[in-house]
Formats: sequence, structure tokens, C-alpha cells
Amino acid sequence: MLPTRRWAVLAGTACFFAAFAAILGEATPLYAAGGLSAWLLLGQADAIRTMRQVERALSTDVSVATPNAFVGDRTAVTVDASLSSPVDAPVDVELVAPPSVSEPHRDQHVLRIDPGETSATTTCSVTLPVAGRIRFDTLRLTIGDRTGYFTESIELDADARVLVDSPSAADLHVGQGGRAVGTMFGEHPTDQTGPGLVPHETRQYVMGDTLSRIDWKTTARMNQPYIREYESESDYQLSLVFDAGSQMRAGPTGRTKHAYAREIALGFVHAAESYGDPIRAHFLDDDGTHWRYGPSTTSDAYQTIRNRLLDSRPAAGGTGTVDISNPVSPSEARQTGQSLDGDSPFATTLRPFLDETATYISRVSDRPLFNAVKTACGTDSRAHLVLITDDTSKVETYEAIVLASQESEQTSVFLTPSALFDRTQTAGTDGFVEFEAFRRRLNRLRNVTAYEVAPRPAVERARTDAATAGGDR
Amino acid sequence: MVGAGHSETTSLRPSVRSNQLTLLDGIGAIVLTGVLLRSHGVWGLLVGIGVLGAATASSGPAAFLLAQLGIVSLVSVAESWTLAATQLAAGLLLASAAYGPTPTRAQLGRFTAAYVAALGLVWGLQANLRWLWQSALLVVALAAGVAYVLHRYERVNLGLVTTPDGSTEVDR
Repeated sequence: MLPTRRWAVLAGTACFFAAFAAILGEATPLYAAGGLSAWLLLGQADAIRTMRQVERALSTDVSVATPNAFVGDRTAVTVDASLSSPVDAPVDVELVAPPSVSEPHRDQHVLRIDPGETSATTTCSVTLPVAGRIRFDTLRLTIGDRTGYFTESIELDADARVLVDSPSAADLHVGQGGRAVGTMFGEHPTDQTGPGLVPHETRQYVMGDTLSRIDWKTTARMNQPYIREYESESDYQLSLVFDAGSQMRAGPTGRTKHAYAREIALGFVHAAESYGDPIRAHFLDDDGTHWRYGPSTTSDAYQTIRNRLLDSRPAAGGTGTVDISNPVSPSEARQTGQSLDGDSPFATTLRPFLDETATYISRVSDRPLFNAVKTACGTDSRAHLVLITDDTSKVETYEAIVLASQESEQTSVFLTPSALFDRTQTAGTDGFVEFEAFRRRLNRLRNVTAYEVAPRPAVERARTDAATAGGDR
Repeated sequence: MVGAGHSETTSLRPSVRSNQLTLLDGIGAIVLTGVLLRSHGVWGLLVGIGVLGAATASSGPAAFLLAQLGIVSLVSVAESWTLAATQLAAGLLLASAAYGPTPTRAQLGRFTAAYVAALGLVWGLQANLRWLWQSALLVVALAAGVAYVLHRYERVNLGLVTTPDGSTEVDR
């Protein structure tokens, strides 16, 4: 039980009267001191009675909105307190935030049951910056008294927990049309024969073959010169284009588009390192390519790119001028223009726009992704281009892939569907269907394979929803 | 003139409506004023008016403290009946400060018992001890001792005192 300042003032006054009586040698002030002391002691006894009553009548409850969360998430913690019968003193119940959460503002995590009231509730928002099992297991009860001369603090037990996971893209789905594919990182035979290490076949010597390739054992056995062919393995140059633009921030903390895209990129770096393939990397953000490396086959190169990926963060700026419209190539536009009716005012007005291709090309060619792909393709036409981005800017992505399909021997595109990273789920099934149409369109391009990259549960949910919607129709 | 009178009425009304004067305050102030007026004339009246004003303006113990200052200033211990009457009137002011406008009978009973006991203790001490400073020291020491006992009782009763084995005194 702690006395308040008001109590101290009155106790000091009582002492003053007592001292005054002693100094004056006059007993009258001593009666004032006695009366005041009686009142303070009576107030103390009343406060004890109130505190015992509160301690017996109070019931509390703490609940957490989301029992499972990820590092950096915010969650709501609700504290309820009720008294079986009202008391004539204020009762404060404070949620004692564990050290591992950022403490909310005092107004939010303290509730007060005013005299005469029987219940109160408060909800506060806390940030969870550390992984682990966070327990909200302590409430601090502060009981006053009617006169405001005493307070007491009691700690109460509570039982609310939240499991905070570290952010990771553990449930990675890579697939096509919602179906997972096994692996993209296998051996890469060329289906061509020539000099190498793995025996393939023997054939008769023809003019022009070098003598060093004659298989003398077979020649001796067959009595004719034979050549042994070996399966030719090649070193693909992996040209990695990694988009870390601001649109890649979409998604819950730790499970953003960027996090999933990074897993794919790390997988390719690992595969390249395993096969000793030369690797080249282009990292781009909203303003263009901000980091370029390679090509190189040194162990340092793989580690450098890996470290760069692990340190990578999506750009902080807004999406700015990203074009989110559907791709319409100049040829399609021309076809549409030709299909317009004769000389109607509508057709006459619209046709020049559909015939104009220069604006379209210049608009796309200025974009960071297009430029990065163009640069990556320009170095080695035998490179395996791996583009990791999302579907936000369809026009730019499409045109970049068209260019890659023409310039590169093999192109793999990994897209994170915006519809599956939308926290509000407003895009829904239609969003995923639209994405799938876009992915298929890319997949139809020559030398191009397009995949979706997303959290597995989100993909399964989207597939189920799409199937249900299809059944309803 | 009419306008000025009307203005005065409207400005006073909120003050009168929001006054903190309770029935106990009124009785205490009237008794105090009457006793002091009878024994000390106009000075007593002035103290009574001051106490009434303090009781009207404040719901706390300000009126009681002012009354005690007035009593200390005007009344000596030799005027035993005047001292007793004024202390009881001051007690009414204190009861009002403690329990508000509508105290229950039990609250009033507890307060009266405690207040009278305290005054009786002071009277007994100052009547029996040779030096007044001894009485003053004993009053303060007794009050502090009782306050500490109540404090410990509260700590034990609410289970806030733990023993070395981790159990509370209540558990034991």
C-alpha cells in the first residue's frame, strides 16, 4: 500500500499541529493532530476493505487476435476486466507487455473501471519484432481508494500467447497453372554429340574427322576406322535478372513477393555453382539496374551474388509509373485497327492510334526490366536467361520476354502473381485466372517457359476457388 | 439597474448550483460559528464565515483545516467545553469530507467512534503526561504505528508477502 501525495500533505499537516502544540506548550493544536490522524487511519482501513473487495470480485481476460504471426507483424491484444459487484474506488488494469514486444501507448494498454462501474475493456496493437513464443501472462492491477490517499499494485496472472515465426518462404510453390513442377535445376545435356567425357556411340570414320578421335579398339575389331562419339555437355551461362522493385514488397511480412523470388534466385545460384556454370546477375529496382555482376565461375562470384540476394530488399519507393495494363503488341493493335468499320468517325479517330507503334516501343524500351533483359541477352545468345519478377507490369514484362525469346537460347520466367500476395484478397479468383492467362501467353513464346512462384497454400486456395467458380458456372 | 441585477443573478447561479456544501458541512459550520461567536465575538464569526466559504468551495478537508486553525487561534485548552464543542463541529466537517453528501449510518458510526477515540486519547495523554511534547510525540508515534500495522495487514491479506519458500503468508 503506497500513500499518495495528498495523504502526505495531510499527514504532514497533522505532524505540524503536533509540533506546534509542543512548541507553544498549548494542547489545542494536538486535538487537531489527533482528529486528522484518526481520519487518515480510518481512510487507510477503508482502503484495505476496498482493495480486498476488488481482489475478490475482479476477473480478467487477455486475448490475442492472431495466435500465429510473423516477425514484424502487428496484432491486437484485448484486455477485459469485470467486477462481480461495483466498488467505490477506481481500478486500473494494465497489460504488462513482455520485453520482446514493442510496448503500446499507455492509454491503449491500461483500462480503468470507474467507481460504480463493473466492467471495462481495451484493445491495443503491439508489434512483434522477435520470433518465438510470446506470452502475455501478467496484468498489473492498481487499486485506489475512495479518498485518493492510497494505491496498491498487484500482479495478476494471464494466459495469452502468440507464436511468432521467423519470416521465411518455407512453403514455396513453383509451378504452372497451379500444378507444382519438380525441378528446374537438373543436368543440362545438349542432345548433341561431339567431344566430351560420356560415351555416346561409335560410327564409321568419314573424311574430315580428326585422327585423334579414332577409337582404335573398335577399329581393330571391325577392321574399319571407327570414331567414338561422346555426349557433349556444355556450360550454360546463367544470366539472372532479379527484380527488386517496390512492387515486390507486396505480401505479409517475411512472405513478400520478394522473399519468394529470392528463394528461386538462390536456387539458381546454387545450381550454377554445382555445375560450374558461369553466372551473370542483374539486380534492378524502380530506377533501373542498380547492380550487375559477372559473368564469372569463381567460387567468390557465386558467394557474392548469394550474399547480394540475401541482403536484397525491395525498393522503398512507390510503384510510380509502372504500367499495369494488359499487353497489346503493335501487331495486335494493327489487326484491331484493320477490323474497324470503314470510315465511321469512331474508326477514323481511333485508327491512327492503333497504327502508331513508335510510342509503344519507346515507352517499353525506357523501362528498367526491359533494359535489364536487353542487356542480359546482349552478352551471350547461348545464355540461359532467368527472369524473376512479378505480373504487375504486364506490358513491360511481355515485351522483355519477347525480346529474350528472340535473343536467348533458353528463357525461364518466374512470376509472383499479385493476386496471391494481396493481403486484402480483393483480387480473388479472377486475379489468379488473369495471371494464369498471362503466364500461358508467355509460355507460348519460343524458348520460353513461364512459372508461377507463390505460397503453396495461396495457390491451393486459388485453385480450389477457381474450380468451385467453374463448377458454379 | 435591472440589467445589472439580472447579470449578477445569472453569474451567481452556477456557483450556487455547483457548491460542495453538504448537510454535515452546514451543521458543522453553523455549530462552529455559533460556539465561536458566543465565546469570541466577531473573530469567531469571521472564522465561521471563512469555514462556511471553504466548505462551499471545496469537498476536501480544507474546511476542517481552516476550522482547526481558527480553533487553535481563538480557543485555549482551559476553555474545555468550548474546545469540545468546536472539535465536534470540526469533526462534522471532516466526516463530510470523508464520506460526501450521503454517508451511510455505518460509515458515520465508524468515523464518530474513531474521531472521539482519538480526541479522548489526546485528552488522556495531555491530562496525564507531565510535558506536552511527550503527548505530541506519543500521538504521532501511535498514529504511525497503527498505520504501519494496517499496512502490513493489507500486504499479508492480499497475498503480497512471500516467504523464502515462495508461498504467501495467506497460503500459510
